[in-house]
Amino acid sequence: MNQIPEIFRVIPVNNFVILAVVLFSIGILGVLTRRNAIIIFMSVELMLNAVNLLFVTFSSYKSDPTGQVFVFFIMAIAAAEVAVGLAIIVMIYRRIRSTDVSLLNNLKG
Amino acid sequence: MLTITFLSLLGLVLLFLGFAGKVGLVKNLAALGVLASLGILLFANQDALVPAGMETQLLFDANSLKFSALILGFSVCIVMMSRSLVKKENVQAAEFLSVMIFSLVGALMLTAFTHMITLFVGLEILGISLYILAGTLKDSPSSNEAALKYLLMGAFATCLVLFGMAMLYGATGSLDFKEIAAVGNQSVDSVLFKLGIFFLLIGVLFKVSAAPFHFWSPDVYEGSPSIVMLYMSVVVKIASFAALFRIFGGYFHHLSYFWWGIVYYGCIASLLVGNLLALVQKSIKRQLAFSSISHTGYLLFAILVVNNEAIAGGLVFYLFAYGSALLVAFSVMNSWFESSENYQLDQLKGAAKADPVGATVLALSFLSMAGIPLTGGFFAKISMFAPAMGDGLYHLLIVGIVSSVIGAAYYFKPIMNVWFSTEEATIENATDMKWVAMVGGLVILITGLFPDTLTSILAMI
Repeated sequence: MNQIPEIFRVIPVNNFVILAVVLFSIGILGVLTRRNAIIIFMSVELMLNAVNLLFVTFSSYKSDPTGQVFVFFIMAIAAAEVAVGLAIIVMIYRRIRSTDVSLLNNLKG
Repeated sequence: MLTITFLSLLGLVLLFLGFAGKVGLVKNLAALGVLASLGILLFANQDALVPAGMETQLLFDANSLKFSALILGFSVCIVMMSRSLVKKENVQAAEFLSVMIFSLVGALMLTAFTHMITLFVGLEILGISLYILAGTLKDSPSSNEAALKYLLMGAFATCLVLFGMAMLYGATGSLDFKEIAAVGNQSVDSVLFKLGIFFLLIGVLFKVSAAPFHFWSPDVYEGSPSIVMLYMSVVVKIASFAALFRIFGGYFHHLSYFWWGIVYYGCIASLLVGNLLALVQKSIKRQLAFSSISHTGYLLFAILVVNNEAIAGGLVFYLFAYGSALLVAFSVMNSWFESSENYQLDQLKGAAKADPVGATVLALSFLSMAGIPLTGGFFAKISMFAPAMGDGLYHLLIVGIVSSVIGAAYYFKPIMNVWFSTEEATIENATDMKWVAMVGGLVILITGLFPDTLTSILAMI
């Protein structure tokens, strides 16, 4: 109990955290700079997976299974989100023959 | 828990009835079912039928019962009002209503979570259902656009919430809010803990559309069908504030050192952005979207004050007054613009000649949103301002009062158009669902003249 697993003596826990933070930042940059709905969506998935990595790391570092259970919840719900999200993107593609979000300008004030 | 189980089953039953083609039955059963779930919430023991292991996940305490009762009460009215939407072509009544009921499951979870998993699952059940609801009108370009914008921004906000949760988990080794709050006392210097609270707060502020994280909401509100917009600005607002209040007014209240400043400036920004930008809008839906951002600002007062036990009642009162005013306004406008989803301020001109009763009730609801005395909204604002005065937050109070005055200016625009315009009326004036507006108008007056009645009713829940 509470013994730090072997792997973290080889690769320090900080490395995992830094990797996750880098992945998350790439995701944020993607959401903020890209104009293609599918790529924005991929960036969101990248952010979710960075979070998953973070949860798994902390979970094994602390020898506590709750974090890994949470990862299953995140994956299941991300799948539901993708199903709905792609349906919406397909609906829009059928209308404007493009997935470029800057073409969507019906609404502005 | 019983209510949540009941609502989930109700949604499934409605979906299958829809497959069987019994649309008329679906419409009646949906409203009756939500009403029944309100009854179950108020009169049944919520701890009954909790599956093993769930006791540590969901806990219905006094506050969550109040918020849930508000959510279900307003939902009954909204489900009944959605008849005008679901009878349109290309809108599947059963799917629309069952997705709305599924989203209520998420909303109830947001009032009663004690664990990060239930918070996340609640947020997502509510969120994913809303992306679908926002895109209900498949043939309308603006509805499509609203759905996509809501999806991308909602998913982004969810990621921020999750990132914060992961950080908090790393700092404390627990996903239970009570344990995190207890450990939080000792780990004041931990960077992980600070970042965790920061991202969690930013994510939730995104969800309640507080400025400067509000930019998605006017587009989403304007593009969605008006019933869905009403649902977002009433039910979803109650649910997300219940969650915000539960985390930062409850579990993390003693850790205010980490989050107070962000909420403070978010509150001021919401008040100013919401009220100033609402002044220049031509579309009623867009104006109400910005007014909803400003109301987020007033509601954030409840998170900022020190004595949060006492203000819970005020928060519920405010949400009730705001929700009933919006409900009344939309039920009147829904009967006026039955065939259109695009409400413009100019279209209201001269409406009082065609429908004086509806125009009176509409004026009353806008006055209540502005917080004019003799309406419920006045006491709602008092219930937010008075505790802030007690805490000595004078700068915040000055911003709040100035922005209420600005607010009155744009709430009077539709009233002026309805009553004091010489042009001929262009409204349709369907008589459908007029009684919701009448009863709602009466409720606004009663809460304005005798606010104690509402307070004592709420105290009984």
